[in-house]
Amino acid sequence: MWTVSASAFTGIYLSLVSGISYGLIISLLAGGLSLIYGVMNNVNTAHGAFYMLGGFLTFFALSALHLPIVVSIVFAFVAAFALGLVFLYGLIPKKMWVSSDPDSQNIVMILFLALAQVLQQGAFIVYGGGSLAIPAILFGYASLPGGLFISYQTAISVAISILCYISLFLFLRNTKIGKAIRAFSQDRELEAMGVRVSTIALMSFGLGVALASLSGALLSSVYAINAGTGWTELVIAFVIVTFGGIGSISGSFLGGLIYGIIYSITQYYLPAYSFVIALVLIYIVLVTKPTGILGEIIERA
Amino acid sequence: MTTTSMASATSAAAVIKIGLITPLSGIYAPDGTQVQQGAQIAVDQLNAAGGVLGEQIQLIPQDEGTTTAQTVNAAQILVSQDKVNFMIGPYFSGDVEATLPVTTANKIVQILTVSSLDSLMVPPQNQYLFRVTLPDSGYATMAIAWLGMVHAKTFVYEAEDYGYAHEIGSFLTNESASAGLTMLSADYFPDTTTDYSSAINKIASLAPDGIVVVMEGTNGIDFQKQFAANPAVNKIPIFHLETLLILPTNAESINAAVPGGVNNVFVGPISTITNETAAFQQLFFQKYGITASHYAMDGYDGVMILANAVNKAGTTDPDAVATALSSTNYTGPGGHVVFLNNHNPTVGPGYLTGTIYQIQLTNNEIHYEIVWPSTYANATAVNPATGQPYP
Repeated sequence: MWTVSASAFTGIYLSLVSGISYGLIISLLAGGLSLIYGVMNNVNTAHGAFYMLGGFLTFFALSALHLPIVVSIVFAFVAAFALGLVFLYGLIPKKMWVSSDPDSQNIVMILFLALAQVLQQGAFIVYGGGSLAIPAILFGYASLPGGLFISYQTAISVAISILCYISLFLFLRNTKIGKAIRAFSQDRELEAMGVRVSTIALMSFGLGVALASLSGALLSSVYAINAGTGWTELVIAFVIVTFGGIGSISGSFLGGLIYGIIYSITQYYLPAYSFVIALVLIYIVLVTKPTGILGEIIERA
Repeated sequence: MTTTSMASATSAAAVIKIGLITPLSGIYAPDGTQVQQGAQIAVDQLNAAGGVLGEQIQLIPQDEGTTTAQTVNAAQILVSQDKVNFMIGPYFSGDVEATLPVTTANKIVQILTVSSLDSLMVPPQNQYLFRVTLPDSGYATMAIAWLGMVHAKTFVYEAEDYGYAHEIGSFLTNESASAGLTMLSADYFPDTTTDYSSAINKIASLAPDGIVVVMEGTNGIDFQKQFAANPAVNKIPIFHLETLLILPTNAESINAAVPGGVNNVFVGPISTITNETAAFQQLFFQKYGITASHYAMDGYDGVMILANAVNKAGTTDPDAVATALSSTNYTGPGGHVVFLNNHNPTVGPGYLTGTIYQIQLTNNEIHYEIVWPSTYANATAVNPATGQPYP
């Protein structure tokens, strides 16, 4: 087994492993945002709030319903999907669900911002401002070469993130509604061919926010989640989605991975500039390829 | 002039106005509100005892908001419209700096109960500025005292990327050598940081004897969760200065995620315990139904110190009050305040020290044991690596 020293190689190795795990975890959040935008042409500015909601739904299932942690995380995923449908129905006029009209998009963006505020205030009123106490699925850690350790919760979150992406690919390729989502994102005129836009939008939005919620549920034992959580995560998800290619699921996966690696390496060597340097490098990529690394169409999933 | 209007004029004149600028909205509102609540208790007590110089005290709060522009506007309203005699706050050092042109031009004596930046207290701008809370140099003094307690020879400094944290880092850099300490690294993280795994790996590679953390928000909880889950570092003594971990709910959130993840963690709120502290906390809880933090105690002390100075000066004239403040010798719930020449409070045993607690888990219940300063310590610090008290 290697021993850890403060050499440059050690630093890169340590931060590379950290970056891969962080990137894979955070890309789950970004994937949902990308799915929603790719189908609905609307930016879900409440996406970070759904991340926060995932933590609170898990906590609710644990403390009020007395469910085991794994079931509570599943509950957070399913409940967020259902709530997503309710919010979309109740908050956004149906004609704005899918729109390329800038005025309509602005209205939807502001409505989602309002929803985020309401969700956060609601969480604050019900649970106060403290951080949630949520156990890991499995306590302990795995030992990696170089004296590096990774907690089981992080490893499980990485595995679930990869599993979700695989499931999403299979869903989009092999199910009727998945094929409809892909077809619709490729050709908006399909509405005239009998594909129900409202069903596609509902399914995409529900799935997108459920992924954000799942991300929050999984990460609530790794990071702090309280009623104020969500805005930083929204910004990071935006960065990853833009970098990977707006609307591209595989772009979000790859974008998250690259973002995580850049971020972790800079955090090791220049921590104060970690976020800025990640943004600058991503900016450079976007200047050379404005559509992001994997374009902007969802059928590439 | 009618009798009514004469009475009204007399009444208006018989009030000493204290403006208060503190966050009453946004994420700092809970702490900012405690400043107001503590100050209000002091005002109520003074008024119940007949006021100051026979005049009633009126506290006029203004929301510091989330921007410096809003703070400057609040200061202008207090000075020009409300015509306050004195001011408590603002809360943030940057906001204090921004309001100085307004307050110094109008000779407003300003009591700082939260702002900690030492570099504010330089002539001529400190002429009417007085601080009643621990400055950044005091934070560094606490950290050095803690490093001595855990017998550290080397340490790393992990902090949020804010001005005050840099100032603490500078003090630590300057003072560590004379204390026989080596600072292996000082890293500052942007407030967007949630994942610290890379930083924690770096700590593992440096293998320090102690870790000093200054992350006042949820970033401190993020850091501790990931630190506690990593066996390469989690037995190294760690000290969170001025942290949310002082609240049991937040400590419990870590303990749930990583069982034992807060056990033996040191936390250092900047409040100093005195013989007045317990009584104030009881009073505060009766009035507001919540536990008083140092924000409330320092808010209370700020008003009381000001009132004492006005009484001593026999007038509200700012120069006379500033002179009287310079000879303050006051002990309240937040500490014993004696001003230095630069109007910072004296830091050290018997004055302002801050308090160091160690979190202990007994049957999975969280306890906060006072381990420093020795005057109020009720436990001996325990070495996280051995589980035994330090010799």
